[in-house]
Amino acid sequence: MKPLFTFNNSKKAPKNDQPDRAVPVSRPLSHSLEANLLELQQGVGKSSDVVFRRIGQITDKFPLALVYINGLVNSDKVNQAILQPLTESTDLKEKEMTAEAAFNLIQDQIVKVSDMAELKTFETLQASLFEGNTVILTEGMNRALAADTAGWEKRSITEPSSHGVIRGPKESFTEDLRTGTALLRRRIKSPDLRVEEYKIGQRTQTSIAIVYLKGIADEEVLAELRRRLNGINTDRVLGSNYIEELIGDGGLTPFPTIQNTERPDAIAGGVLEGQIGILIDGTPFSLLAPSVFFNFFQSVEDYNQRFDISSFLRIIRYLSFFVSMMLPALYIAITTFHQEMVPTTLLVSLAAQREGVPFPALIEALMMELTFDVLREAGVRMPRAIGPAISIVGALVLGQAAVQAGLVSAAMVIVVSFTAICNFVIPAQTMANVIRLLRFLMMLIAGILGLFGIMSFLIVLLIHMAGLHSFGVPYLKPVAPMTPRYLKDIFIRAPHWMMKTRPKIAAAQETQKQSSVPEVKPADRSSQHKEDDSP
Amino acid sequence: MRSDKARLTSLQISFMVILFEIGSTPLFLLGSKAKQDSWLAMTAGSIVGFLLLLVFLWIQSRFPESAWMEILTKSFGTIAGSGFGGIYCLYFAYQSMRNVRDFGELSKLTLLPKSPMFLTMLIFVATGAYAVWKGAGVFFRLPELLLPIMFVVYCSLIALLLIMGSADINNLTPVLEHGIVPVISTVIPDIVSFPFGQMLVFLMVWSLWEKRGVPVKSTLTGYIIVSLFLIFMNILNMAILGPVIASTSQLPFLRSIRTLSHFLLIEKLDIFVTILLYLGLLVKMTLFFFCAVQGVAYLAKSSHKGWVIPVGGLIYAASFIEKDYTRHLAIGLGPSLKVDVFFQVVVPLLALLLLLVRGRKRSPSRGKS
Repeated sequence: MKPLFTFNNSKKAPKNDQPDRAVPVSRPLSHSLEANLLELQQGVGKSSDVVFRRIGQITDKFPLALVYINGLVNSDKVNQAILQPLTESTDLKEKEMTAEAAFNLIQDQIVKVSDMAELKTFETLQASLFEGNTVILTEGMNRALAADTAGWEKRSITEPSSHGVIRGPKESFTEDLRTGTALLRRRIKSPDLRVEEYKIGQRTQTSIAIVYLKGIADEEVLAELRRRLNGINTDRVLGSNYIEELIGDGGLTPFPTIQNTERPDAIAGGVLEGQIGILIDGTPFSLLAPSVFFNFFQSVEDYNQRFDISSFLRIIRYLSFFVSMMLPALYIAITTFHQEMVPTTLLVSLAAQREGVPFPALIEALMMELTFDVLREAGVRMPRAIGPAISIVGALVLGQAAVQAGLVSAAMVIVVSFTAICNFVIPAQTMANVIRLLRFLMMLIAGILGLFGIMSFLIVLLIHMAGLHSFGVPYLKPVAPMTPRYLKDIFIRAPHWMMKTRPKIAAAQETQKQSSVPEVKPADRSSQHKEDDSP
Repeated sequence: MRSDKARLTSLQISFMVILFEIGSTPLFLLGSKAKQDSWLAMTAGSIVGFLLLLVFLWIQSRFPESAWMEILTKSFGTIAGSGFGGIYCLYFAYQSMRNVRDFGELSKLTLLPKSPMFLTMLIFVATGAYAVWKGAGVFFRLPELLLPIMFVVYCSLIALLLIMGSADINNLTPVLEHGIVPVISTVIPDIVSFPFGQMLVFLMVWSLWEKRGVPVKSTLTGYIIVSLFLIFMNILNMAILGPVIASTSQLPFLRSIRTLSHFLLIEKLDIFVTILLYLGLLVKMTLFFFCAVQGVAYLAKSSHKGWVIPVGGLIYAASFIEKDYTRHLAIGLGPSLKVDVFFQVVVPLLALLLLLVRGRKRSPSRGKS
């Protein structure tokens, strides 16, 4: 028995561990229609959604059969483009012809479907069935025809549920890969936009498309991405995080090295900057790689608003990042170790508040932060109808009542709520989650070593981040290693007309021996970045 | 695994020069023996240091691809060169340890008066060890992240001092009250060897530059900027505190900042000064640490990663040798500076001479072959 679930990470799997392929050998089709149908039937078992439709009466010489999966095909299309022409065709009945000629006739004239393919083995035949094709089998031929009749129930394009914007496109990707690529094609009408498709997951056979601009995306990054995608050895891909974790860099790091978004304009923007989009069938969330730390603070909204307000908002985001990560830790450090830093009047009122609180500041903060995370998780899970109840419990009971009961100080409630709000300012959820975790570590360290602990922890974090790479791109680029002219779109957002060149997403400098990395010429092509509003 | 044949950019080298030279310098008022002329002493020191730096650069330009250890073996021969190399490793470790101890005392003084020093110093060394372990490529990105932060904090503190503080330029007069002799005597060897002569460590770094040759321009730019900054800080401290207080206080910059405490919401700006000192000390300590590790790894012909913990342990242990801060300061600003002369001036000049002699011998033979 093969295990039902195998999840072999390509990086860790030993080499002799054979991939868990569903069918390892390829079996050719036979000349007999009956034998082929029997084999197919055995292959899929008694699955009720697989339809076998025999068309025996057309001519005794060449009985036909259609096979398709109900629900994956558009039945109207099957009826009108395949079944009706086949049954009504007189050519097949009248002429004295060979099986070969009949087969060609069906392929070339009778079936009215644009996308047709010839299949020779049972494996390709099955795969084609699961993609929504209708397979036509004929007597006397060891080949089969697959007509593209895919048409299943899809969600229509809606507004994105995350990454909302005020002024900008309101479309989001859907679960369908084709819709995704089409949304991108509609935004970048260039022949340089390339879409490469992969099938990943031995059992799920999930389609994955990498989207990039030829000549702008770095070839080395592309090669590395292809290598990693081909190296994936898993039996399932059910969402974008499967891919993200399997191809991401960094080993054990809390920091994300790949962005995810459900916004086609964000992917298009990234692709135009030389990143590579990864679209995954079955989830509206697509990936962008390589992504450096600062990418997670950029939002598509930045480019849809004027540069001055965008720059301001971006600075607010970085501040929020630090506040969200450090505020409780700073509070602990200052109230425990460095009271002298606080002005005397404030110190007195803080001390008065804390007088009745039975716990040390560290315990108090940990308690409140954990409570907030519990509330937040409850908010995601709970049914809509009882939402208000939870907010009352959260806001009143855990906030005000806890202060009145003397369990926590009022200042701590302020600290925790402000921290929580700051966390939501960061546009990328993955980055916001990083600090949700680091915050606790930082609070513990602050409780032991005060500000010195916080500083040391920050330095260690910086060293850690300086050592990270995303597909060979240093994680803190372009700040470290610094390229001053690429800083126009990092901490601020310079006006569009000012950003004439595209920051190069360089390949790994460490792996290259040659010095003075020259500008990649295509990437430096003057201002594809410019927009209409340039003077 | 990405091999860490690190290639440093010019900017990284400039930034490292600046941060390294700032290092622990603001902890002390250098040249306080020259009283109000200490800034003249600093200027003279930086000029002499500049000449010394040119010598270092010249030595490096003879062997642009080699680190100092290699140059030593090339100029003194394998055995004597390795011997010198070993001593240099110890010297780097010693300098690193000085910074560790400086930080330990600083944290006791300002940050964590109640926490034991062995703990703060252990964490300090461990932080440095992590950066060294990550290799030059990562470590040299640190100044790029830290320098902008330090720049902003320094600028705001200086602006506050200038606007609200009681800087009095008269504190700098009379110029050369006691003649030029006290100035010269503080310049040589004291100020030259600390901090300016310590540019020696870049002989371990320059060969890692991403381009061919020696990063003369970026090094000199960094050096000139940081010299001007240090001279300016010296003037500022002296102008605020006056020669008497300035020469007796332990942390003159901290003392200057404390004069502001009445004006601001934040009672004490100590914390910012401490952060600045912490960052400077950390980078300086780590660079010495890095050089010691690189040196040992070169001499032992093995990867640097294996040597991080032994060398770190040595530095940590050595930082306990001195009994108290007074003795630490006395050694650091006394005998230590005299020893520095040997490492920073005598050996490089000797190497220079030998290189010149050998170069002359070798060049005709090279012409034949």
